[in-house]
Amino acid sequence: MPIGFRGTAAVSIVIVAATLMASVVAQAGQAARAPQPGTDQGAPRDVPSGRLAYTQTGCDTCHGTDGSGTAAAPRIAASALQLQAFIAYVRKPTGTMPARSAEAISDRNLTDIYAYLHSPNLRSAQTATPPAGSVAAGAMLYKKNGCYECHVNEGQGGAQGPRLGPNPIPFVRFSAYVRNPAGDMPPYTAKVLSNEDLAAIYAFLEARPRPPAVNSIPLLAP
Amino acid sequence: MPPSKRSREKLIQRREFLQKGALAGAAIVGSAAAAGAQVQSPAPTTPVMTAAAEAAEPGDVQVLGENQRCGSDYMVDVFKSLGFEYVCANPGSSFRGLHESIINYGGNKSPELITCCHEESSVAMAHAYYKAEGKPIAVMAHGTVGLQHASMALYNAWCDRVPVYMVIGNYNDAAIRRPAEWYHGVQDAAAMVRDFTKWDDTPWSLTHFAESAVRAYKLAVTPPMAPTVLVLDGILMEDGVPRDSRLPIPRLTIPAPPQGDSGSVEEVARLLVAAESPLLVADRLARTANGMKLLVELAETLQAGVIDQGSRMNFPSRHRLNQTQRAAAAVGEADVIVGLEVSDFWATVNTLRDQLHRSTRRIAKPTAKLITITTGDLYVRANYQDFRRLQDLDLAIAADGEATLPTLIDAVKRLATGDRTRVFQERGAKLAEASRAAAERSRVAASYAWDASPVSTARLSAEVWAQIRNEDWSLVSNYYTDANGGWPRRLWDFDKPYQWLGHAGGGGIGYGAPASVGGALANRRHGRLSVAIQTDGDFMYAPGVLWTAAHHRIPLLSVMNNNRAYHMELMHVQRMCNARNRGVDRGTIGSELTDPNIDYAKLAQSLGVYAEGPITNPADLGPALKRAIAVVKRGEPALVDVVTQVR
Repeated sequence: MPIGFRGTAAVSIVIVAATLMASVVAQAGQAARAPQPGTDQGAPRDVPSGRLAYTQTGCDTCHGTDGSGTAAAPRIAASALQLQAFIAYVRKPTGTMPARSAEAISDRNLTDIYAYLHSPNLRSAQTATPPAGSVAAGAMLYKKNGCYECHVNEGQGGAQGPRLGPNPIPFVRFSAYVRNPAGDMPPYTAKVLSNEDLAAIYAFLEARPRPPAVNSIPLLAP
Repeated sequence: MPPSKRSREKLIQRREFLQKGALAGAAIVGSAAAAGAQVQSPAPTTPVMTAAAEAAEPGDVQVLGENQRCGSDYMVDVFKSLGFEYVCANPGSSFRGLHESIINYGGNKSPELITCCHEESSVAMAHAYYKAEGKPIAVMAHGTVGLQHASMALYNAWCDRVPVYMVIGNYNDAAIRRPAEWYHGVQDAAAMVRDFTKWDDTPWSLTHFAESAVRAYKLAVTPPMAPTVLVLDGILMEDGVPRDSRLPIPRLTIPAPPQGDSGSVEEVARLLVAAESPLLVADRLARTANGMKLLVELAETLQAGVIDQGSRMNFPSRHRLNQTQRAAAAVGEADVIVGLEVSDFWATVNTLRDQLHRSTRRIAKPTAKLITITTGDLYVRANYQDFRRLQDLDLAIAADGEATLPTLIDAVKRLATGDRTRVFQERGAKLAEASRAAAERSRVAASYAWDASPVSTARLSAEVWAQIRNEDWSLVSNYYTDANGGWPRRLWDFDKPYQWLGHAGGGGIGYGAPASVGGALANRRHGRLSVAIQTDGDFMYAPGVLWTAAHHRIPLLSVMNNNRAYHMELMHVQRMCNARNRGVDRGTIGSELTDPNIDYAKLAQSLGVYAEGPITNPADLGPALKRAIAVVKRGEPALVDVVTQVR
């Protein structure tokens, strides 16, 4: 799903979140049953079912186990996209994501997945304030720890790894991914990269300059 | 094989001569020793001619008679009949007879001798020359040390299924070898490369040579193409034959490549026409300039998406049906996937996760119909594993992809009804939008780190493109690449067959620099502006090839992608460091090219090449490229050293 998900109006987040929370509360206590991808029968619209459907339909392969994104695809947890737009995008994506038909995954399953992606745990992780870190130390650590090998010197990404800055994914998700990546990225345990060092790298990525508007660069004219 | 009567006679003559020569030599040595004893001075370190030696009985006349010609003159006649424009070689005594015949008897024209500083360079030049010109050139080398140097480049060419015509020298008769020829002599010279060449032979006579020379050419250029090796005996080259002897020059007839059988092709067409989301994947498809035209015709007839995996220039980079920049998504959407000369079809429809415990996953739909058309099914060797994983298929056609396309296009046109054509048009519009969006994402991605120093590789590509876009250009080598073809393929408008020459084939580093010179050699006659994006690690394998470019006035712009390390390997070491939980801070040891930094401009200048750099400020790059291109347009090579980010 496109990075553009992040830019949608915050108002819709509140509305969707409230709706989803109400749905989760209303269905509390209901036993989670495994949804059958491709069918619309008996799948409760709740977070546990959504989490199951999320992995059974392979969303986690590209977007990570908690929707925080991987080298292959961006974050979709706690996105500002509304439910119907979310479903419409899955049906007809405009980016690199393969389209999923209603036969492959029903609207009800997608609703559950949406609930999971907007569940309180995932939401708080996406919105938590990152720890303070030194940009200068982060620049040194970004190189020392070889992040630049795949994500390139300025965190702009390249053939081997996606762009990380200047607007990195939320720190909690960033940290979780570094510790236990879903794609080809080698894992960095706390033994080889401390939380403090990770926070400094994060600060470095946040501080990367935003690029000029692409249309203002004559050499990149189509 | 026993020697013929004529060969036996010649052998006896040679032995008689050698006996006489040996006696004469003994007389010289003996006389010199006696002379030294008389004057009682320190023995000279260099032999000198003495009166006694002058007085010795002369040996046989050492010049070919007027009624004779040497075997290698005839070999040149045969090579000329094959149409070779050039022969690349680092000089070697085991083929000295042929060397002399090329430059004197042949007039050093068609073929012209190109002086190379390493046999690996000779072969890589021939490899890229073929891909630019569609015609092989020859390579000469020693039978042992030269072929050993050449072997990695031959392996690249073999993996890339490109013909290289390899001629190596050897003194087969042990009884007449000079001392050095023992090190250069071998019983079965081609054995060491037999696993990765298509055919070789060691001719015993000139008639045998002529047939093998033509056969080697014919086999090399018949799909599936690959290098061939001729082992030429030194004496066969050097000995004389009667000038009036009627040695034949066999006629070269190149076989038509194999087409897919009509029933199978019809079935492919039926599946493609019925598909909702057909996908054409091309890798080594376009053997000739016509290959790209045919693929465009098939794609436009079907309004099908195309992925160009880039071993050849298969499809225009900005064509609205080109889905290369969103390849994984296109594969995931497809219900029929046709691989056209795809070297690794398994990896096209699956992925492998490179972690401590490797895992694989299919990315194509489970129901997608998978079809291949490739000569890969006609030719496979056991030892070297370039055949890749075996993919379950619905239909496999063992045939040449380009040769099969006309029949497939006809069948598709015949089966496409009006209703299907309307579906095709709707699909084409969606694919065009997806292609446009992917191109837009590439532009945005290129804007990040735009003004950074070291220079971003996207900026480097954009700066080069700005200077060449209005020229008749050809990117002759580009090691900075990925599955999507790297920044040039994402940002530049490739629409001509010679604008992209693919890759090394076997992943052997050191291909880029000589390949760029070989490609530029082919482009020279067409007046094209040849450009190479040259990585530093690759360049350092055999930088002497730039001297070859300077010496032979081969116009070429080399833009260094100087990131001061073997970064791909560094990344692999880093992966191991992390998998073993040891941290990566020592991971650069053994992979970086720093301390001292290499000054590529000075290196190029020392080889006679105009050069500027190192450039670290992106704002300085455009003017430097402009100056360098002015030099190239005068017919000479030029180099601009750019210190870049890692990727």
